[in-house]
Amino acid sequence: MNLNLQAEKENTFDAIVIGSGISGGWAAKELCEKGLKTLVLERGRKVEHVTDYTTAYKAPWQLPNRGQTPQSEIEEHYPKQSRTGYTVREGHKHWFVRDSEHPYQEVKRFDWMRGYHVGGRSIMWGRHSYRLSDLDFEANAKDGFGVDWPIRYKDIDPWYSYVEGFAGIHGMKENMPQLPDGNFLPPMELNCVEQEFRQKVDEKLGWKVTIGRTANLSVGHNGRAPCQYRNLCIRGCPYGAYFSSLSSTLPAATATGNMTLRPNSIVYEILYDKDKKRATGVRVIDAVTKEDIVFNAKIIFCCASAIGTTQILMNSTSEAFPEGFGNQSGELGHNVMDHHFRAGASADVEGYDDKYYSGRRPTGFYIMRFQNLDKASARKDYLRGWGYQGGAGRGGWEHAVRELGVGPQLKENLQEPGRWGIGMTAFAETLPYHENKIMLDRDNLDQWGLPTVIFDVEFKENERAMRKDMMNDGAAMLEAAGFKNVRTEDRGSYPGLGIHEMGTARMGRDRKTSVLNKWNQVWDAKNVFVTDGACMTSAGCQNPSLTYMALTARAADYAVKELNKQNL
Amino acid sequence: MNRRDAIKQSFLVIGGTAISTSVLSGLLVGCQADAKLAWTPTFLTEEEAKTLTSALDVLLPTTDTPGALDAGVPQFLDQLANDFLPEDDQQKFREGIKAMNTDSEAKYSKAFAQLSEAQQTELLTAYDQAAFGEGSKEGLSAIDFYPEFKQSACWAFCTSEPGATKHLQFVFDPRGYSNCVPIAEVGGKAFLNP
Repeated sequence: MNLNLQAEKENTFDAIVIGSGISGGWAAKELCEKGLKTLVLERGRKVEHVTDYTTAYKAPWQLPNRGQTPQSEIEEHYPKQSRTGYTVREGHKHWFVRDSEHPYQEVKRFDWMRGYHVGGRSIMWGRHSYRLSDLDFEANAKDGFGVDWPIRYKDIDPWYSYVEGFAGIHGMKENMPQLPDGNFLPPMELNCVEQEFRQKVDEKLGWKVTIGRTANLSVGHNGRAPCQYRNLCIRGCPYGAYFSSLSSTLPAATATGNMTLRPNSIVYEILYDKDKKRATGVRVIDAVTKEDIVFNAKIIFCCASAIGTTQILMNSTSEAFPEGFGNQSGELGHNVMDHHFRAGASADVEGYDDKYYSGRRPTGFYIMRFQNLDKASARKDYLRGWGYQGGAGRGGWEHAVRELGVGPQLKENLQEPGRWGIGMTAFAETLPYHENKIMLDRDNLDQWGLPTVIFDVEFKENERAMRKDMMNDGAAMLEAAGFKNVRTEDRGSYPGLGIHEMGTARMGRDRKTSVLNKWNQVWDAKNVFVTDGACMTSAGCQNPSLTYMALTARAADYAVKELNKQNL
Repeated sequence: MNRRDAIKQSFLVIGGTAISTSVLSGLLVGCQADAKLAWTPTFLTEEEAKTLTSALDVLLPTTDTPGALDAGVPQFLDQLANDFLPEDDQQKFREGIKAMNTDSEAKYSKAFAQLSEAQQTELLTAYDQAAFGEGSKEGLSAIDFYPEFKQSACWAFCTSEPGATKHLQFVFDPRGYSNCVPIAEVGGKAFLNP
């Protein structure tokens, strides 16, 4: 009896955070800094900042396969994770799960890219950080797809500023309402070709090319070193020069003395007290020992990624929640969104043959959405819009292969920087469709005996209707800039490949049509907060992580205030 | 998740590497390839290894900077074939090397490794002209192999330590970004990106 009481005490915290990626790291930092004893549960392995970035200083010749992964290994372990074409390269494939160990099912193809380790995808993320605007928060209400967001830009604006101030986002202020400026560090520079492009596009089309606003430090910030222009972010940065949970939020949480971080802890159920209408804790299986453990807390933050969090909620069935935790609306697991991309344009650039650059800038340019902003920019074939990411640069030695030359001539050709080129791909909004959903497969269990996820998601007419213009508008800009040999390309895009899964436990104004309220609280379990991509009511076309950070900080602030008022 | 890499793959990089490889042995070949082979091949026969070694020595010779043999490219490609290539690609590699000998025998009545440097250069130039220029493909049985050979050789050379650091430029931590400068001011030659 005494032993049990003591075990229960040791397993009881003020707060539990499920997941340690971008959202979980922020929840941990905010809750710990506000004095809550916080348990962070991460399903993957332990990772130490810097010392576990094992490939950060591997030169090409020091990687046994010089960066490549054998086809046989891809077929055996990474048949789905390899669909991006860049995730399972030798220098960073250890940050992505093996499909052979972490299977999922597909009614329709869904490219679910993920990493199970402390820090989650904050280690490998693309770092582009953009605010949503009221164009996005009002979109569902205006065109009737999905449900209305329960918040507007003014509700989140101060929280964007707050998280930007800590994370460190560089960017140029542009004063464009569709993509609000942030609390920026000095911008990294466009190169000369990109500067000319920016100027010509502005002059001839009135569209805005700016530096990609990324979470890379252009100057030292909050004790973290500035970017060294390695552009090897995906391997982990030994300088902590981009925002990740490991470089930024988890150290802040640790510094309070209030955080307990437990890796290898797979949360598979949230426990519910139907009389109090509150969650009491979570049930965990230890990934290594397979031990089953209950942890209790006053509040729970679900930050396990959109699909991960939803998987846990769907698996948490009880008398009160027979269809999944907080799923009185029937919307849990539905409205899966991503961004569709891989359609764009490219061109050759003349006139800069004697110009080069040094350093590898970890961002490119961003072109702000210019479609369907108002009557003048309305498009008749589709709703919503897209922005572009791209860059201009010179190739390396590769051009020499196809040029005439053997012997000393070939060696000389290899030393010549390649020609200048410029290219871009659109990242476009997808609409929330109820029928795009995930389900649990209770017949196909993982190695811990837990149900696997089934995806039934597809892009539809509105997305398909955009893709022609995504290419042609890109080409129009390159032509306006006078670049040569302009080419368009649509390489096809499957849901998931944008690695921006969203929407499976959406926020809303009405408990009948949404899972979360305006504070990211589960309607019928107000001490459970969902602040990762699952909460998104619409997708915007912007890379979403900054919004998760802001919503997490906002929800944590509210949660602690409510806790102090004895409301939770 | 590095979207920039994806974009580069999509639009900017030409002639990307379809082939990869295994451990760089570090052994250097210090003698003429038509003499005794200075390394022990894993996949190729001694004869095939000699052909490959001498072809690489002519394709990327030692000049005022290291060449393919200084960079261990022959051993590297042999290991690549052994450890990395699927069986049908292994076979193509072997047949390609054999075809260079076939062409050499037909034209000069000698194995490729026995030719003078001038003759070896002449044959490789004929391949190069036929593959990437206006040259005739007639009588060149290794013409289908040649583009892959050149691509693999250049890739293996440029990503080796001598190739990257002595022939090209390689900087792990640039520590800054200059967005637009004359080539001469930043070392005068292409960077190898890690």
